[in-house]
Amino acid sequence: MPLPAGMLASLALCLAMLLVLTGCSEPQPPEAPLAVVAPPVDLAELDLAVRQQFKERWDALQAATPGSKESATRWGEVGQWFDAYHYRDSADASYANAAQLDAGEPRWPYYRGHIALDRGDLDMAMEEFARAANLAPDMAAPRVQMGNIAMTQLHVDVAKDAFDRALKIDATDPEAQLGLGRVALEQGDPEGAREILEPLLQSQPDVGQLHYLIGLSWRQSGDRVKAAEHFSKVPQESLNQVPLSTSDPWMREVQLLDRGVVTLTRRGVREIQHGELRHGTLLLAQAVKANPSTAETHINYAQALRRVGRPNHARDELQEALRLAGDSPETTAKAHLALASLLTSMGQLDVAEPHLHEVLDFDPRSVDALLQLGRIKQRQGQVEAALGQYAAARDLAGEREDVCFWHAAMLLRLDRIKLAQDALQADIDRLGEARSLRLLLARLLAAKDSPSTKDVDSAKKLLQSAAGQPDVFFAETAAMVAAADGAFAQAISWQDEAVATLAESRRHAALKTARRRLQLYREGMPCRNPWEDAESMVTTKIRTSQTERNPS
Amino acid sequence: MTYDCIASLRRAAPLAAIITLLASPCPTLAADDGAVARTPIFVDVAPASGLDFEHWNGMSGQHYFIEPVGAGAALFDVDGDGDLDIFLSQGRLLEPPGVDAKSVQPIFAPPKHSGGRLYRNDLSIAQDGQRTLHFTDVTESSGLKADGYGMGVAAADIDNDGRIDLYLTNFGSNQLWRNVSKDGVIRFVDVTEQAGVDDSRWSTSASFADIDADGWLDLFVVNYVDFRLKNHQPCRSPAGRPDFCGPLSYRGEGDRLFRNRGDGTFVDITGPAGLLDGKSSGLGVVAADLDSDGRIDFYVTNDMRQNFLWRNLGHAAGSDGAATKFENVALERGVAVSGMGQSQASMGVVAGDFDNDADDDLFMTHLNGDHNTMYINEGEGYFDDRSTASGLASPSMSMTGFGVAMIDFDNDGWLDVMVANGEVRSIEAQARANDPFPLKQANLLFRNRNGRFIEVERGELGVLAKMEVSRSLAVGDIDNDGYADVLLTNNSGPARLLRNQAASGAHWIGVRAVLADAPRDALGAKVSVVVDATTTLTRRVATDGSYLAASDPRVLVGLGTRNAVTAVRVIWPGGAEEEWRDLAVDQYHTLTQGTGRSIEASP
Repeated sequence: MPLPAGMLASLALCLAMLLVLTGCSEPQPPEAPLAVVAPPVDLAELDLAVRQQFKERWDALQAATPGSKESATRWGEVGQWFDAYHYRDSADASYANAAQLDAGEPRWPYYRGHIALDRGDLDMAMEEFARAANLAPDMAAPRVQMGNIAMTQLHVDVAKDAFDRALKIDATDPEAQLGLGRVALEQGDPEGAREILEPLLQSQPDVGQLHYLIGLSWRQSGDRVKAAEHFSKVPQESLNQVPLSTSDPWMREVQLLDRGVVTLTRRGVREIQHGELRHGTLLLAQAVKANPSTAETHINYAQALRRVGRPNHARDELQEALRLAGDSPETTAKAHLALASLLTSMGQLDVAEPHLHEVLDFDPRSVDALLQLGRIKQRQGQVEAALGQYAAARDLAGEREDVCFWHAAMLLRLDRIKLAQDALQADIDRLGEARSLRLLLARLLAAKDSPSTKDVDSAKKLLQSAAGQPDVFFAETAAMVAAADGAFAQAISWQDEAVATLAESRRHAALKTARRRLQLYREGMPCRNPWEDAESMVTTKIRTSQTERNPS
Repeated sequence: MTYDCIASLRRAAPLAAIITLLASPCPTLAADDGAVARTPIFVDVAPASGLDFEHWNGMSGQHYFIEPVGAGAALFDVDGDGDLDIFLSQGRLLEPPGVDAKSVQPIFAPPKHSGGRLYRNDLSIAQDGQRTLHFTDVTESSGLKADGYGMGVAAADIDNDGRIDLYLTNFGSNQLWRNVSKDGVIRFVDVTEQAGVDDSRWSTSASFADIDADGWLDLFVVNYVDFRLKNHQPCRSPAGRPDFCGPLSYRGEGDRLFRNRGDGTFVDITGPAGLLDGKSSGLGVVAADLDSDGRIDFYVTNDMRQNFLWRNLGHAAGSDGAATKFENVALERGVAVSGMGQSQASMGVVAGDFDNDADDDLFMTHLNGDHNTMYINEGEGYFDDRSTASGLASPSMSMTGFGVAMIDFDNDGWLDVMVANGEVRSIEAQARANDPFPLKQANLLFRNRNGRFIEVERGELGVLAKMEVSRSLAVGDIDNDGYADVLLTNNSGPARLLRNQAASGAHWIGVRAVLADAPRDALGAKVSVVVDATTTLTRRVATDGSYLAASDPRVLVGLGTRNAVTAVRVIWPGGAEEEWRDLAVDQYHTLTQGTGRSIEASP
């Protein structure tokens, strides 16, 4: 009588584990023909650096004596190239050739195991990882992968055994620790899971996956508040997820091989997002080098240069991007937009403006171009023209809070108080939360110069509805409302905080306005204008000492 | 000895053989795959029945993000004659901005008729019970002009006149077509503008649901990302070859919720309802009462970003009653990211009771390298990722899934799963073979055996095993024989009408739940078939779910060998519950609200 499939699968897994212990591996007939592998069909389309990389490896393979151990190594290296750039079929065939020519090298079956895993062929993956583990008794990585497969197949005990074995080899292996945490969760042992995962989280505090699993453990323990605390630290987008830092030198070999523009750019952008401006810029410079003929890479590099305070170099890169983007109107528009923004920030408004017209000629619905043009007009003192641009942007993207904000701010600047109030109210009704609009409306209702609309109670309510961790914009609004209510001590206190934060962050133009308002409050006078000429919305958080204050 | 040895052993060997093998280090086993020729469960009857639709994505070598994404389909009874008709979305030429369309050379030839197509089902049943399907293209005569770049379809009766209307999502402005058919003559009028339900962004799936139990169907529209031909980004493969972009190359878009005023117009309540912060990359949506509190929630699948579970809070205290409030509780409920804590590239989604415990579970499809995910409802709307335990994870890892159907194809009382696959990035072997659209994959079908899913063998897959770029799946009993059929769309390929040939001899019961105050399907109702003292099968009345699709709103419940049911209970939108007894099996019943025995709600 046949055994149930589940039991047979367990037995099969045990057999695989046994193979690791007994050193059983299938002999490969040396005379078997090697798989045919050809260069990628799209080689000519690849990044320059990537093509060169392939050529070096391919030439080395051709130069090696067929059937030699060196040839095996070269096949493996070609396989790594295919693997790094996601040509999985060719990678697998190359690794197979390498393994056939040198059955003693553990990396080739290990890589084949990963490819099999990607294909969902868990049986083959397990076989290959077992072979790698057998050949490399001191490596934790294949055992970790065997544990992961066993978890996928819900053979929790087998998985636990594999993770334990990996940790015997390397007691700090993060992936094995994570695996054991998962085992504990699967076995309904949330405390046990936390005992393993929390120390790991301490060493890798930004890994969302760890937060999520710990959150699940708290949910399993019935503590939904603690669970929610951890869940809130899981990033919204997969791109922003910090992966668990693993200690897998073999996979790292493949990952480091990837010198394509896409990866360099991704890494560069990530570094910049994490405040590592210099390193990020360096990676983007490498991307330009990897493929100097792509306009996009120059645009990305220029944006980074701008962030590190090298506007002239950034301008040169954008001009090069414009030259290269010749036959792509979309990329040309993108380069124009970036260049206009850069030139605006350099104060070259007249030079910037034509670039925006180029964008709008191509795409009259470009909201970003309209907004930028509005800002230029505003800075040139052409307030009516600025309003026109913002209004056009609002017609196109009324769901964007920033667009509605600038439209209303410009109406205020033009003293069209009622129109501004109506627009703000309509936008808030439509957009719901819209914190910046609520604050702007609160300012409008508190302003001394608009007696027809002055309504301090409503302003207070709006302020309350926009409460949260206060930033400069909020603090100045709170000060304005407090002053309108005659609570000058409170107004001074809020405005003090805003001034201190602006001084610290060197926002000179905004600081000037803030100091003027502070002086007004000290003199016992409320603010006249809800929104000033050169004012911008500063969302820098103010110091924590103020956060517990009642905003109204 | 290899693991392959073990695998073949697993198929055939008794325990004694395994023990022997353990003692003998590297034996060789004779191959015995035990293959048995099987009959395909589904047969494509599209060509034979006159359904001659071929999708065209309009690609011309630019790698526009939109190209591999469409397109959708609907199964709905447009003329009220009791059988399901078909609507299929169509693409159009994607000419680069500033380039004369005439100078653009599309890679595939355009279809003979442009725009989405409407096919009338002229089902005939002979005296001997023989059912013959025949479809007639009635697009032109119906007045329906679906000339946008078509994406998805939502089908429901928006004006409570008993006729099913169509909402078409597009890459560009959407359309609402009011069904004004009369006396069997199919007619539609475009009421998009007057109804106020347009969205000019890139919309994908949509769902009609009565969120405030006022008797009028509201509309949830899912938007993808801010991609337009004019902000096309030249994306590349890791090695640098031009390739399709991913969703994170563009800004995510917010979804939109429209409340039906009941006078032919809708009002956009996205902001007041609290949905505005949900800017993401939505592809799928289901409306279901996932926390069993009597209110319809929305679950939205997002590509490479966290999924949303918009929990319906009802009317906020002190509000004017105009806006029902929602909050996103996906993370805390365990359905935002996978059980491993990672955002997945979620595409299609279905909500249904896969484990027959009377609450709705969620199943969704994902990108190659990741697995499809099954979230089992633990009660009160808390979920657990049971993808691995369900058996649905591993077989999906090498596939990119889009459409998904929960379909009890063998009528055994357990909801089975079908998944439509097709890559979004070039497949190496196909590119080497110079395939101009190298994204083709086979589809998947699973049998549900007491909550554990078993992959259907290749011999039974039939046309589902064909390598195509499959996208949408709509489910419905196209020939009214009590076995659910499937409409499958292929990007740059033919639509396939998969007629269920399972013929397992299992019994079934069909229910159309109709409201008392309006002659329309009671979307959001729950139908429970009490089979015996220990078995109750619960299904929701819905047309949404899958990917870009609208399905048959009738509930079809497989009964296996059981040839009678004790009762059928319906929980209507709003919470009232009724029961019907003595309903015959192996036929459809129309259950109208107010005609059953009322059941008092439990305290």
